[in-house]
Amino acid sequence: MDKSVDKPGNNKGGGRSSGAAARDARVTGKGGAKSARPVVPPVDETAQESAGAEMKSAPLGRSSDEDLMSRTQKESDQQAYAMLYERYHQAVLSYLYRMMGNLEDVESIGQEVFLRAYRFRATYRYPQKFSTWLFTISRNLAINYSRRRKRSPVRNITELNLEGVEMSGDPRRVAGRATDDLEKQEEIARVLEALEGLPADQKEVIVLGIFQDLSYAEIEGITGTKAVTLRSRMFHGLKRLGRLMGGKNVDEE
Amino acid sequence: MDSASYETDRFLKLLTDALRAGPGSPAWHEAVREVRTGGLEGADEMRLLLDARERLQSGKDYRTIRAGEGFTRKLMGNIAAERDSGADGRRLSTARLIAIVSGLAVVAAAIALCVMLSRGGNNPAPPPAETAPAELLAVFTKTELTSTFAGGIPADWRAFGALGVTTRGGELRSESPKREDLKAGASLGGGIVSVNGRRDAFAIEADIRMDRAPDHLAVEVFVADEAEFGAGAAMAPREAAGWVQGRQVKAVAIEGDALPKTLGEARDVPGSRVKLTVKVDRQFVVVEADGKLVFAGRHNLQEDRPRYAGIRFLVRGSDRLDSVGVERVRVLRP
Repeated sequence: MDKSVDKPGNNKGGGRSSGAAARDARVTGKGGAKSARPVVPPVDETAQESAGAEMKSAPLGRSSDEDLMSRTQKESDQQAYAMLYERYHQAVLSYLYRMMGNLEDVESIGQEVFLRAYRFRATYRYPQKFSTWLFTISRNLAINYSRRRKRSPVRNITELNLEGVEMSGDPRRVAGRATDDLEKQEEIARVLEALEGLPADQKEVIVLGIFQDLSYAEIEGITGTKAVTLRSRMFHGLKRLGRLMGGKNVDEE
Repeated sequence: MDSASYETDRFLKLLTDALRAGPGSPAWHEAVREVRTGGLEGADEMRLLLDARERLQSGKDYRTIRAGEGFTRKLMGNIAAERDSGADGRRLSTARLIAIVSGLAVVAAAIALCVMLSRGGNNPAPPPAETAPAELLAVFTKTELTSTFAGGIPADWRAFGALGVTTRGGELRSESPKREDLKAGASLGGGIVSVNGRRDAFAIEADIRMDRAPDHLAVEVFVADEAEFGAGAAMAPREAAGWVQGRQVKAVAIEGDALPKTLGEARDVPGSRVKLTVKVDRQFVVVEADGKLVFAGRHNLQEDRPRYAGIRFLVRGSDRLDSVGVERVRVLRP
């Protein structure tokens, strides 16, 4: 159902010519005579057969991320950027939720990620993968936000309208959907809860490598940490999770 | 073990590959096989590690979220505002920005004071021109319908008007008008219109090719509140439209038999292609060319009537008009 839109927006661009007499929107060149209906001045030239139209650019839906970003950079093509947003908003918001842990932060940072990616689109350089560039922005904003963040009162998250938060944010619900085996449900829930207790660097490589399905090379591009170190963090992070899953105490390493 | 081992030691490299890729991957199968059968030192711990990875795989949906409409709408509105303000990605330092804004505020206050004093405070400033709500100015991201013309006019559209339309070369084009249909000093119209009306906010977008952009041919992307068209130019009683002719695009309003009224200013179309978008809700229309605003303001369509979207060709002269075609039409929702 269409919402009634009553309020005018901010003054962004042209409005009606106030008090202007109705001008003849003729199908004509400039300065033609007026008539009762749209008038086209006669042209004696003979229209030539065109060579046949061919689409010069692929439909947006089939364009690569890098092509879409190129269009966004060169033409400020909002449709191309909107396509990139459609492709990546779930990955970015989920990453932020897994790293930050609270929805207020996701709302603030999520908006800022995509706004900055558009605002600083000129800084994206092919052949870097667009996803790597976008996740780098996301990570940097998340880190800076965590450093600056002061405790603020909890507010209603009505603007974000996040879908499926209730189902995916509770480890026990997630575990319950994954299996009917109660023992495995318990292990799954325990492992997910234990993620929050991991050192930040181990949690990060697990979130990016496992949940976001990025390669070590891509994670290296995002974090600046060498792949060999990332592998070590993956190993030790999962080792801790394994011990916590088994109900054991984790020794400091 | 030192960090370097994770790439020099074959098993550790395999294992960390397996842990990242997870159950089902080739690395995983190989790693599991080696742990189970290889007599490795610390095999129990390795199994625990693999078990933890399996549990994580089962919980991979954990904290998966998507943005809702409000989030997307807010973001796209902000991006549209950035685009229209001409932001080019370069940022000023915060201090410099504050200095500039403060200076502008002082200048604005001084000007306002002068104006008030000169007027004696008796003439209120005119109200700001209405444009359109932010939701309508934002990018519409949901494609409801995509129509191409390789196989004729799709079933979602019907032809109208005395000027025939055809599909050729994968495009929608106008036919050459019949001489008997042409009247001196008048133009002839015809096109396609949506079969079904819509009541919610939507956009119609057309990819238009103009190899030569003749002045005697115009292409219009329109929204009307009736699907009945008159003779001759085949206009509906009320329309809000984007209009391309020559190398210019403009917004127009049609009101019965009155002359079509140009809204705002025409904009040049530099290339041989233009993406013309007309977005409407109950009260407002936004016309954009290649994502750039041409006009935003109130339309003349009746609020309680359904909207019919369409493409119209307007021609004068009987020559073939293959230099202009419509390559694709989309209907989008916010």
